[in-house]
Amino acid sequence: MLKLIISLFLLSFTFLSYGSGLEISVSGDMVYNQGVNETSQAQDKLTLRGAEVILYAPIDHQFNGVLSIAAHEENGQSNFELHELYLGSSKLIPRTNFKLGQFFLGIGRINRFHQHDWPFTRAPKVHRSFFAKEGIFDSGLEVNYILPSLSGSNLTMGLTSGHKYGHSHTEGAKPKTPTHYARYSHFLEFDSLTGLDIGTSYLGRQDALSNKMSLLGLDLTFKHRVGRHLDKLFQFETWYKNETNSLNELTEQVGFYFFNEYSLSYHYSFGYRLDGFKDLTKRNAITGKKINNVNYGTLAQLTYQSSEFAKMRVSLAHEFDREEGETLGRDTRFQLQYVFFLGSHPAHVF
Amino acid sequence: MNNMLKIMMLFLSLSFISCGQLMGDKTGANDLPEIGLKTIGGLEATDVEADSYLLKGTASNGGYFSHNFKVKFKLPKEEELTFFFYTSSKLQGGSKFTFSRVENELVLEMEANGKSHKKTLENFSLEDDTVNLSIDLHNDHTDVHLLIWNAEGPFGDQEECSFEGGCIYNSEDFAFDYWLGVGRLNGVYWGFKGDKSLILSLEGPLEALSDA
Repeated sequence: MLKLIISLFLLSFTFLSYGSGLEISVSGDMVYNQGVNETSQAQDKLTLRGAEVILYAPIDHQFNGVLSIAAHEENGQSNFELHELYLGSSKLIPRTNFKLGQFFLGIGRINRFHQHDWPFTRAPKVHRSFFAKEGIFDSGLEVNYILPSLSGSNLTMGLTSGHKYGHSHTEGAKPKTPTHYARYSHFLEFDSLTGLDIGTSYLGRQDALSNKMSLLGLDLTFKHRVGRHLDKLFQFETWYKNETNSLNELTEQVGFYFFNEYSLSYHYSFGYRLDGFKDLTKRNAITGKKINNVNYGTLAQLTYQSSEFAKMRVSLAHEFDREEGETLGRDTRFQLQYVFFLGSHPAHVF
Repeated sequence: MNNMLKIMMLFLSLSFISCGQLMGDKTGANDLPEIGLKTIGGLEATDVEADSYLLKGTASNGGYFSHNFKVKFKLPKEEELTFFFYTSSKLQGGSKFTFSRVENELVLEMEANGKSHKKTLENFSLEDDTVNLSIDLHNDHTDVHLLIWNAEGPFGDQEECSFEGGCIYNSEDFAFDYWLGVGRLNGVYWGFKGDKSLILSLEGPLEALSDA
């Protein structure tokens, strides 16, 4: 029934979009998770992780619009929800692009991408812990300004409602300080096929209960292409989170991931990732002392990309916690992912 | 070149972190005193004040995490026990679950961030005055999500599960009546207040049973 509704929806837009510049992109993201060890939290089943429909078009000579709806499996059911709905323009103010509406916040690296566009299957722990499973999106205004210099520097700033942050089934509440963020990035072009994007990000928010949160991040993305083909990818993110609750108690966490992928041939690429995460303020309730803890994760993956519209990825991931000399929570899992795109696809940032 | 130097400085700063910190080596933080330590329901505990105890176990990720807690206790008539979840070391803030017995009915009053709901728990029988529950608190949502099950199940987590017998309580089914804008809980500990001799067993914080 859902497939029929989507088909009719797309068919109607196909006829309506003729000559209007409306582009439609549909993506499907399926993941099979198989736990390898007893303590794995993998669900040992195929999950229809995401089905997304993106419509984008110029609204008129000054504005463009984007609508993105996505269905994610939750409690065995796939429920469509609005991910992004915004209008934007790059034509009103020189060197400036803005978005007004609901969108994924323009901070960090993978938070700016839809889940099916990630270069790996499952997000690293630092992203899952600070940004929820897919990413943080909110409604408000985001402005991107290209700094007037010879080098490629960008400043992105955003102010969003902050009623919700992360996973939410409810409306949230009006915050004391809405979500505000900024990302400064600098692009180094080594040649026409090789570049490095470096970004530093900040996000702040104080919720309705006066809990203050700050996030600081650094992201690095290096790409080397051979023709149109991505030959080498290096991606790194590190984040620090600081939260002070209404009782003035401080919690701090820090995490990172390092990912490298290189092509074996035109269709195949191999990648590996190392993740780390640490709760800097975790204390033993009885002794009151700080618990020395760290979480590590590794993965190795092989990706087959038949074209820019389809890819299949197998990966073996292992994650574990070390706490006061003991190894806890080992999670080894095998993942098989299949992603496909129908129709057109919006241009990616670098 | 300047940018590369800055990146190198960032990585060099990692060298200030000791190997022990990077490996999660033992520092003695979890070494409990051999004498004078209370055990309640099989779990180590420390006094907060009269009849109030802080229980062993700290929520992950600064409390921004979903956990499960298992509580089993006796509740004779006219008795009352209170559990604190995601609370401070002084049992302030967080969520408070107060169980009381009125004749043969089990009454639960839940409080969190100024919101509360008092409910007689249905689909529940008090055999031998024993209460055996499994409680999920999903504190990584914008508004904390509370799920309560009979410890033997079933473990439904659909929104209407409390009316369909799949769970004892689901706060999302009452979100707009009692829990509108409740927010997240701001502590990392859990605790208990009442007659500790009534406690049969305690476990937590564990991996959440539901990912709803």
